[in-house]
Amino acid sequence: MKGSHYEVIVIGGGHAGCEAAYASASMGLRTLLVTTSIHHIALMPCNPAIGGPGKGHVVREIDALGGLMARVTDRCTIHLKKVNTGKGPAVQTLRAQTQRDRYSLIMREFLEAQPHLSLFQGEVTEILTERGRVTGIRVKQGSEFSAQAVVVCTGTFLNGVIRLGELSYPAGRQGEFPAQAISHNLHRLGLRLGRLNTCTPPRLDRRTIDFSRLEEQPSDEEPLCFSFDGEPRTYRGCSVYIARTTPQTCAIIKANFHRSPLLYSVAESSPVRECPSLEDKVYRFPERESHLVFLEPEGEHTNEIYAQGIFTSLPEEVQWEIIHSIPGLEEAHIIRPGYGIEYDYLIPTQLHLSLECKIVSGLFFAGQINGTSGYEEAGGQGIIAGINAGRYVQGKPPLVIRRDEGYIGVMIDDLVTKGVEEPYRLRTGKVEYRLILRHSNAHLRLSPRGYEVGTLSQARFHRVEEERRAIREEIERLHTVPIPPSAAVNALLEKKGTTPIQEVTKASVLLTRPQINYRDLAPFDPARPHLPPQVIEEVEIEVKYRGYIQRQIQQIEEFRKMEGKLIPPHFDFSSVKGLSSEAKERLQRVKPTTLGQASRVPGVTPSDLAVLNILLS
Amino acid sequence: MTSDTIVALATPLGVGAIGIVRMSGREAISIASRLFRARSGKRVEEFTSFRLYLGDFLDSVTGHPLDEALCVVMRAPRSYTREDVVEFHLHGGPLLTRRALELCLREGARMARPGEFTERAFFNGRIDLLQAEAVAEMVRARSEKALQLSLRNLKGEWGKEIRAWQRRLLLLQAHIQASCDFPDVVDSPLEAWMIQELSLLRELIAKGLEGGKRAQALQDGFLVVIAGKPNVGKSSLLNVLLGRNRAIVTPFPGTTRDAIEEVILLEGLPIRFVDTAGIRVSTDPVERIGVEKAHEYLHDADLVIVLFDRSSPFEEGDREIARIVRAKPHLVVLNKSDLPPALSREDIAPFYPQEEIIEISALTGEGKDLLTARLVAMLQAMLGPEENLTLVNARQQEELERIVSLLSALIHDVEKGIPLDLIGLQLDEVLQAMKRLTGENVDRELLGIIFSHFCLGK
Repeated sequence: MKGSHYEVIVIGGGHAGCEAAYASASMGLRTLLVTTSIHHIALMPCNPAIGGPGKGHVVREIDALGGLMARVTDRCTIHLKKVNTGKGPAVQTLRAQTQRDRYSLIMREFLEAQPHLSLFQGEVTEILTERGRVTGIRVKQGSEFSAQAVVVCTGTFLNGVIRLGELSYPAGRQGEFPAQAISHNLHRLGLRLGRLNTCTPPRLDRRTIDFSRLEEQPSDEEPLCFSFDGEPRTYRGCSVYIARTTPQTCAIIKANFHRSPLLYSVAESSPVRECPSLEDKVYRFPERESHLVFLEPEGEHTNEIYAQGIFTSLPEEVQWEIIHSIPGLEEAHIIRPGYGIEYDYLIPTQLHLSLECKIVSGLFFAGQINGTSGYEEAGGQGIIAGINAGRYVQGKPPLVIRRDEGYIGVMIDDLVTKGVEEPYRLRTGKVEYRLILRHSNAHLRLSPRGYEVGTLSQARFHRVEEERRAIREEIERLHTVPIPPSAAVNALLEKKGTTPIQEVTKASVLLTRPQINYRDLAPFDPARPHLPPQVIEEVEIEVKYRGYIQRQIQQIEEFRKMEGKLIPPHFDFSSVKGLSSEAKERLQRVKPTTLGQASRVPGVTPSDLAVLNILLS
Repeated sequence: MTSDTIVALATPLGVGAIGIVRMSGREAISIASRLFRARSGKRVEEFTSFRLYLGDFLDSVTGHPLDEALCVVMRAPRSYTREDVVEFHLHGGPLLTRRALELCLREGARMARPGEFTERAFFNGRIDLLQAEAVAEMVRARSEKALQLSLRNLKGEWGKEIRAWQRRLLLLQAHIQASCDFPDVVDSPLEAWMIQELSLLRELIAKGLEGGKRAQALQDGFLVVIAGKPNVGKSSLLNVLLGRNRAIVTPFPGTTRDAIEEVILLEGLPIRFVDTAGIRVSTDPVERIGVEKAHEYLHDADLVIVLFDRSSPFEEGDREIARIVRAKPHLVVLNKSDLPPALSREDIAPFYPQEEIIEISALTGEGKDLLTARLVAMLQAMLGPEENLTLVNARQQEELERIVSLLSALIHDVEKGIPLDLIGLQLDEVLQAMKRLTGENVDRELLGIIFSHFCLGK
């Protein structure tokens, strides 16, 4: 049975798949999104939250490239917080609690409004190829769709097995079927798969929780939003609450270690350090008496509360005991128990930096199937894979975000260069040039790229450029504003705990003092123009941290020198004399395209690099 | 890449008990087999690795034996270069060893560039950068002590301490990153701890730098300048000191001929003696240049021997010298103790109160042992305690100085209240610099440390 022809097909309607399909359709390419369930588009099977350090940065970058995650989040946020205020401009970001069900609906609304995009419900059983090129897909019911490029975003569905105590059964997510055929299909195409696992926590009934005994974390009072186009606002009424486990909780878990199928040392799949289960935490930190549990509302109109921190694969009856051992939750009712899931992932070193796989042209991979964890990481890969599938169809070179250009670039470079040993999670600490790659300036960094490839509208691009100009002008102006020593200014300085001035000082110089902010200087700078808060924030960061920013710019120049040393595409690392055998093997597998990338391949030593450097120059 | 066979003399060209010709590369064994006939009749290809064989080194042109020699084969990869290495131990003598070298070249080997054996060892993964540098220092070493230090550099205490510090900084970095990436879970003030750690590290590195500077004297030799007005016997003193020790030139290859002549070893300490022009005020422009040069030497000197002529009266020239030299480490010496005295200790004492004045006769050698003993004692004192002595080459010194200045800026920023993440970014720079210094790549350990110290989750 023949279906119609598309230019790009995206398999999977999760966070990666939605961004991929929307991006390619925005570029004007006829795109089909195939999902096993239209009702579960952009589902949040884990926590109902978007953002946080590293992840919030990616949401902003997706937005700058014309993607959806920030826009959808802004329309279903119920609680919003700025995190890491005071720890430095690079690590500051947003974290939102969202309405889970609404998120899914709004995402669907965006997708359905995109004229070049069609949806189809079905399980893909085969990726069709011809002479090393992808040609289309076949679904379980028999339909075939042809396409020049296919993006695989199947999440945890490949050979998914739910693990819950002694129970174990195949599933994609709780209550959904796994995708088994496609796993075999990928094997046949010559792709290597590994196995990972992750856990979700139980959901509780709001009416059975004693909030009076818990610590409240209200939404911020400052109006905020994720998207450049969003309307900043405040949220009330849906706080997050913090509970703490007790020694009794730990005792219950310790007594049931043997019943956890995914415990650190027990599971067949790789250990999980960045997203450990509660039983992992108790196992690895036996001396700790208490662990934090964040009770996050799943929406305004639902009683479901997500017990963030109790990720577990322990049997249901143990989960009841655990919950009841926590002060404030003694009477709590579990609506949905937590569960663990094991699934196949694609070993990501088989991918190019474009996310196209190295052995089948036109076949792209994005999201959790590449060994990552988190909606944001999935979305960030999704938009890049969607764009590059489109670029592939258009016969244009791929869009590659380098490590000095975005968190998305760091993530993809890490994945394809280093591979993963556990679900990969973005953190600010993984980003070398984070002072340049801020949450606050994502649109300034990446909008030109989005506009160039056609995923960002011209109108948005012009507004970003206008903002860039306003920032530049205000910075230049501040360098020329003299502030003479006066009783008023010195009173302010002393009040703020910094030394008074003796002579005329430029506003830009005073702003470099950690204690002084842009708003403080308003009375001494009467000619200052009225500027929107996001412009002021950028101006302040650029002026205040100028020295540090300059330093990072220098480091980036060094980095680019290494990235500029290209390695020819079919370079044979295994025949290079002087490389250690470990380096040969790893390099041959990853096939880095630059000396810089080669330097990040695990097991490659400075000696190996010296050898390569001499050979390449 | 290169796999041609290189050859070089492994011992200095000159008269010695033995001369060693060393080859490395793919053809080393087959070339050797054409040039060496073992007494036992065994072919070179059959030699057991690392065993010496007695036989004849053959002149492959005439077919006659050139010399009775020993030959040893060290097969790849268990050799210094990780290639096949062959050594011939011949009887010393420049003509003989040079002829042997020529024959190796004739049979297909190529003359090695300076340091090429070590370069191959490095490129073949036999040694790392620090070790390669230590080898270079070893080759350059001017004294037994410097040699010991360069060996110590490879696995030195100080190096170990620096490596340990890399891990301590990593722990600090793990705390900073955990605080920024998991703000809900980890949030404890780090400032006091950071300042304490960073200050301790800065102290340790400063100590290493200082020890490195002291140790440099062992490598370059102490500059000892003999100063005195004309005709006090500076040259004779130099001859006495050199004459006795001339035979004890540095036994290590790589030092140039003229450098050897400058340097003598006293009790294992390398000393560069310089004899200056007599210092006096002069209007003659040519002589002024000479005097300026002498002043420069005095400025650079590690130690000055101030020499007076006991047999002639104390005069303006002596006073001038005494004035100039007072600030430098010095020894006061009265020469010509064999002649009737015309100058008394009281003439000099005002310039050098409470100091020992050594009397010698450069002619008879009387007092020379005392002078040598005092000289060595002073240089030893300047060298300081053995424990902190570390050979630090120019590259390492630059890196260390960079780390010290990074640390100072960092401590200043912590005190100033600069946000935590900016501290973390600078700490990254320190870690990068330490990585360049030790060659140790600790990048991958950070993740492990973060998650082994903190109980974190999503």
